[in-house]
Amino acid sequence: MVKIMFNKIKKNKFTDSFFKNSINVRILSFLLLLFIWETSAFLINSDVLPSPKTVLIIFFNEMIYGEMLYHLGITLWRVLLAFTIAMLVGTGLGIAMGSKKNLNIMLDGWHILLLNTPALVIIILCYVWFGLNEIAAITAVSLNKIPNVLVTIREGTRAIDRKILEVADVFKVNYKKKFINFFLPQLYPFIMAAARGGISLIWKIVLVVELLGRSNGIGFKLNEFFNLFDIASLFAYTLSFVTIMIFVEYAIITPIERRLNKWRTN
Amino acid sequence: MEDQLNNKLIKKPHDLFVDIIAKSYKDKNQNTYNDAIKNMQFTIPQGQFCCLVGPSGCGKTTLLNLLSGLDRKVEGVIKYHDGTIPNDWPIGYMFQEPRLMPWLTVKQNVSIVTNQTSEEIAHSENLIEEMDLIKYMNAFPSQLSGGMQRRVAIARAFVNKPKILLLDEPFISLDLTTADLLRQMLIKLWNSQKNTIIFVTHDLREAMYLGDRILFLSKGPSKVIHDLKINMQRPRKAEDIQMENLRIKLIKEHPEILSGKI
Repeated sequence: MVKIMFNKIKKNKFTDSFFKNSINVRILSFLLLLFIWETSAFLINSDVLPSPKTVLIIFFNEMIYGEMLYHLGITLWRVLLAFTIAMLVGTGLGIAMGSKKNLNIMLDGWHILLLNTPALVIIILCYVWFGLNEIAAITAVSLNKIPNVLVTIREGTRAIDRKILEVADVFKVNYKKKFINFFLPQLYPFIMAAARGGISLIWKIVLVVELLGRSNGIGFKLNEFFNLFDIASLFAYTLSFVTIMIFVEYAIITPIERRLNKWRTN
Repeated sequence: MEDQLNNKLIKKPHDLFVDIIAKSYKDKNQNTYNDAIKNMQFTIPQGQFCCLVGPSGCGKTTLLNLLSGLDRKVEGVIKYHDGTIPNDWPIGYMFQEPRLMPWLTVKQNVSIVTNQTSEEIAHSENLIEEMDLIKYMNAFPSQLSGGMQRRVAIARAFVNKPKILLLDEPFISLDLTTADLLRQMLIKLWNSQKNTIIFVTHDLREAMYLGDRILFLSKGPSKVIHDLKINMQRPRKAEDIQMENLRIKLIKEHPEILSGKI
């Protein structure tokens, strides 16, 4: 009797500590997804939903012997370029519109127009006006993201603590230093939020842009697989990009955020 | 005594002259102009610790903003004896709240308002050490108590060796012991730099403990209604019988002086 009770307590302790470790839960969640996928593929038993194993084989095949890395590189380059442009322009306009009331009134209508224009319309118009080229593609993606960055940064600029800026003024800190050390740090949480939302939106739009008007990149390949009804390759290419994006999130964005927030966590 | 006599006779380059004819602000609701300050004249000799005492809303903060150069729209003159204005020289300022940058360490918070030469950074460290915060040099403000945050603000106010130091009720909302300690630390740094200090407070005991002189201000539009010299030796004690007698005598002569009437 005593032994059974002892066992029971021990077991509870095990499950408790298992679920307390967030990595365990993450692995469990991943395995569960894999299990659902595998079972569905087995039950459906059709090319429409290939099994994880098939996808993995194609994934490695394409990566080592195929063109996957080339197309991946092209797409990543477009994402990076469009992201940088959208962040710079969006942040600049956001700060300007957040601090200058008249400028905000002037540009707000245009901003709402752009914010509500469907991505597809912007892409088609850019291709029609600038031709089926790289500049049109990057412009189209950036234009889709700029209004979102602008909204976040404008809110951030409005939330700036004037009292902190007054400190810079009474101590006669020069303008550049005031901007970098007294103004921008207050905006960092907003910039990070815009960046995080930005990168996921941008790579989705880049694929559409590639599908509609470029002859390389992941989006172009996906279209090709769609025409050939090659769903397994479609999965493999998607997997490649999702992997990269997860890497960007955990290896780049999260560490930067942690560094910027050091004073909060302490 | 001799020293004070000399002070009166010999003008120093940074004696401060203030002669404000009028300073008005716009009432946004009624679209009219109201005077915050009217006909205010005083002179503060270089290196004097001068306290400003007045009822709330008497335009003390407006006056400090004018002196610091944050606000320049004024009818009148604020200048040093040598013809320069306070804003031409380093200014130290301490607000009612510590106003530290939460994302900077203690050391960075002090040195950020300097040009950050190696000499100035060393000076920042010395001041932090004098404020007894050497252990917290690399801590963030959120890790410090309210009193310690104010000590950082004191160090920052002195770091540029300002000609003039403006303090806007810096020790309110602190417990008595902490406030006493901070006053002693303020006096210590002032003794080493001999800056001109303008210290705004509504606490008469605090003003008498700290100041060489107290200017009493009226309600808005504000002007100087009484000028009191505090000729007591330093270091002073917080609970001094001589000081208490002076305070009682003043209140007896001018019962309404603290509400801005004489």
